[in-house]
Amino acid sequence: MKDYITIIGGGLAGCEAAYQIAKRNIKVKLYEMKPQKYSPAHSNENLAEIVCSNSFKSNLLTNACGLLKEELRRLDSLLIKIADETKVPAGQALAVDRENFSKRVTEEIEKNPYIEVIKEEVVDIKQMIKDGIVIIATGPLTSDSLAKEIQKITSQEKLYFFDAAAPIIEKDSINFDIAFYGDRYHQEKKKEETIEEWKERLTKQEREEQSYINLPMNQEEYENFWQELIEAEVVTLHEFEKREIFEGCMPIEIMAKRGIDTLRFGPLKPVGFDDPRTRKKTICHCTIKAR
Amino acid sequence: MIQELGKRPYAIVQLRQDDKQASLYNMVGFQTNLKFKEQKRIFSKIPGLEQAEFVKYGVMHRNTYINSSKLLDNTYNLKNTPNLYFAGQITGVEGYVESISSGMVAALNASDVFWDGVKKHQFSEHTVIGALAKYISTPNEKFQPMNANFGILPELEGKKIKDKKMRYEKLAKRSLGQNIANMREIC
Ligand SMILES: Cc1cc2nc3c(=O)[nH]c(=O)nc-3n(C[C@H](O)[C@H](O)[C@H](O)COP(=O)(O)OP(=O)(O)OC[C@H]3O[C@@H](n4cnc5c(N)ncnc54)[C@H](O)[C@@H]3O)c2cc1C
Ligand SMILES: Cc1cc2nc3c(=O)[nH]c(=O)nc-3n(C[C@H](O)[C@H](O)[C@H](O)COP(=O)(O)OP(=O)(O)OC[C@H]3O[C@@H](n4cnc5c(N)ncnc54)[C@H](O)[C@@H]3O)c2cc1C
Repeated sequence: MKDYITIIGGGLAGCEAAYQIAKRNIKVKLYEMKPQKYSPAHSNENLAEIVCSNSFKSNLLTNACGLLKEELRRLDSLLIKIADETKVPAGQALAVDRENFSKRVTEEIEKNPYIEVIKEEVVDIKQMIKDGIVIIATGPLTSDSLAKEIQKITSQEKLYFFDAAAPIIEKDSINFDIAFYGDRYHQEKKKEETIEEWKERLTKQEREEQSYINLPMNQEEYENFWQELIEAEVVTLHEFEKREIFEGCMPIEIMAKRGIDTLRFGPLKPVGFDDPRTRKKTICHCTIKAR
Repeated sequence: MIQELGKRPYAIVQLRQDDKQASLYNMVGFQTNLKFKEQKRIFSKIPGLEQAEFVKYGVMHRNTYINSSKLLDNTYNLKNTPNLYFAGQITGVEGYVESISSGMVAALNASDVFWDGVKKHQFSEHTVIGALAKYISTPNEKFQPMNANFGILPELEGKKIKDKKMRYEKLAKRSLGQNIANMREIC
C-alpha cells in the first residue's frame, strides 16, 4: 500500500474529499485535468468550479437540501464553510459568489501540506488501484478516455452518458380527490363479476396504493395544458448536447408541438380508464375522497 | 340495471412509482427541456397536481454516471474492489451539495480503511447524507440520478402528520437530534 490516497477530479466532490482525508493526517494526490483539458462546461483554472447556477439551494432545515447542508456543517465540510463565507444575498437560499468560492477552495487545497495537486488528465487507473486507495470524482462530464476505463473496471455494467428524466413528485402532495390508482384496462367490469363484486373491486383498487397513479383531464383542461406547453420557455442547450438529445428520447414539449392531439395518442392516451369525477354517484361513492 | 362507468377522460397523465417506499412518483413520458420554473407553473395545472411538490424537475442533459444501484455500497465503495471509491455526480447523486455530501462519505470511509482497515461511516438513513448514500446503493432497475429530498428518508414513526412543514421539521429534528458521532448505525 502507498502512503497516500489518490483522488481523481478536483471538482466539488474531489475537493471536499481531499480536505477530509488530509484532516485525518493522510497524504493526498489530487489529479485535475484543467487547464490541460477542459470539459465542455468548465472554463477556468480553479478547482471546485461552479458550472451553472450559483445557488446551493435552500438554507432552511425544512428543505432536504438545507438539512443536508446543516449535516455537512456539523461534519466540518470545507466547501459548505466556504460557501457560507462567500455567500451573496439570496433570501432563504445559499447563493455564492462563484469566482470567490472557487478561488477560496483552490487556496485552501493548494496550501494544505498533506495535499499535492497534480494537473494531469488521468486515463489509466488500473495500476493506481493496485497501489492504493483511489477515489474517482470526475463529475458529469468525465473525460472520454477515463469514462472508457471506468466502463471496463465496472465490467459490463452500463455507464450512462445522457440523462433524460421526467419530473418526480412527492406522493403526499398529490390531490387524491382527483387522482386515482390503477393500471390501464382494469376498471371495466369483468364478465364473471357481479355488479357488487365489481364495485367492491373498483373501490378497493382505487384506494390501494399501486404502482400507477392517474390524473384524468377533460377536453378543456387538456387543451389549456397543451397551449401552455407549446408556449413554454425552454432551456438553451449547450452545443454539445443538441446532438445527444436528438439521439435520445423526445422532450414532451417537442412532441406537443407536432399537433394538438399527438400527446393524446402518445403518453397521455386516455384508453383503459374512465374519469371517476364523471361517474354516477351510485358507483363512485367518491371512493377516493375517503382517504 | 347495469350501472355505467364514468366518461372516458379526454387524456390521462400517468405517474409511475419511483422508489421502493412508494413515496415518489415520476411523470410518465414527461422528459423535458422546459425551464424549471415553467415546469412548476405548467405541470401544476394538471388536475390533481395543484399543490404538487416536485422533488426533481425533468432534465435532458449530458451526464456521465455509473449504475451505482448495482455497483456501490452505501460508503460509495465499489463492491468487491476495496480500493476504489466513487464520489460526486458520477455516482448518480445530483447537485452541488449532494456531490459534496458523497465526497464527504467516501473520504471518511477511505480514511478509516487507510488507518484501521475497516469502514466506520455508514450514516443512518435518517440523515439526508445517509439516505442519499442508501438511495444510490439500493438495487433499482430504473436507476436515475437523485437530488436531496425528504421522499428518500424513512417515514416518521406513528401517525402521519398532515402539515408538510411540521412533518419536515420533525424529519430535520430526527436527523440532527442524533449525535453526529453516532451517525454510524449500519443500515
Ligand atoms: C452544465 C451543467 C450545469 C449544472 N448546473 C448545476 C446547478 O446549477 N446546480 C446544481 O446543483 N448542480 C448542477 N449541475 C450538476 C452537478 O452538481 C455539478 O456538475 C457538480 O459540479 C458535480 O460535482 P462533481 O465534483 O461530481 O464534478 P465536477 O465539479 O464537474 O468536478 C469534476 C472535475 O474532474 C475533472 N476531470 C474530469 N475528468 C478527468 C480526468 N480524466 N482526469 C483528471 N480530472 C478530470 C474536471 O475537470 C472537473 O474539474 C450541473 C451540471 C452540468 C454539467
Ligand atoms: C445541465 C444542467 C444540469 C443541472 N443540474 C441541476 C441539478 O442537478 N440540480 C439543480 O438544482 N439545478 C441544476 N441545474 C440548474 C437549474 O436548472 C436551475 O438553474 C436552478 O434549479 C434554479 O432554477 P430557476 O428556476 O431559478 O432558474 P431558471 O430561470 O429556470 O433557469 C436558469 C438556468 O437553469 C438552467 N435550466 C433550467 N431548467 C433546466 C432543465 N430542465 N434542464 C437543464 N437546465 C435547466 C438553464 O441553464 C437556465 O438558463 C442544472 C442546469 C443545467 C444546465
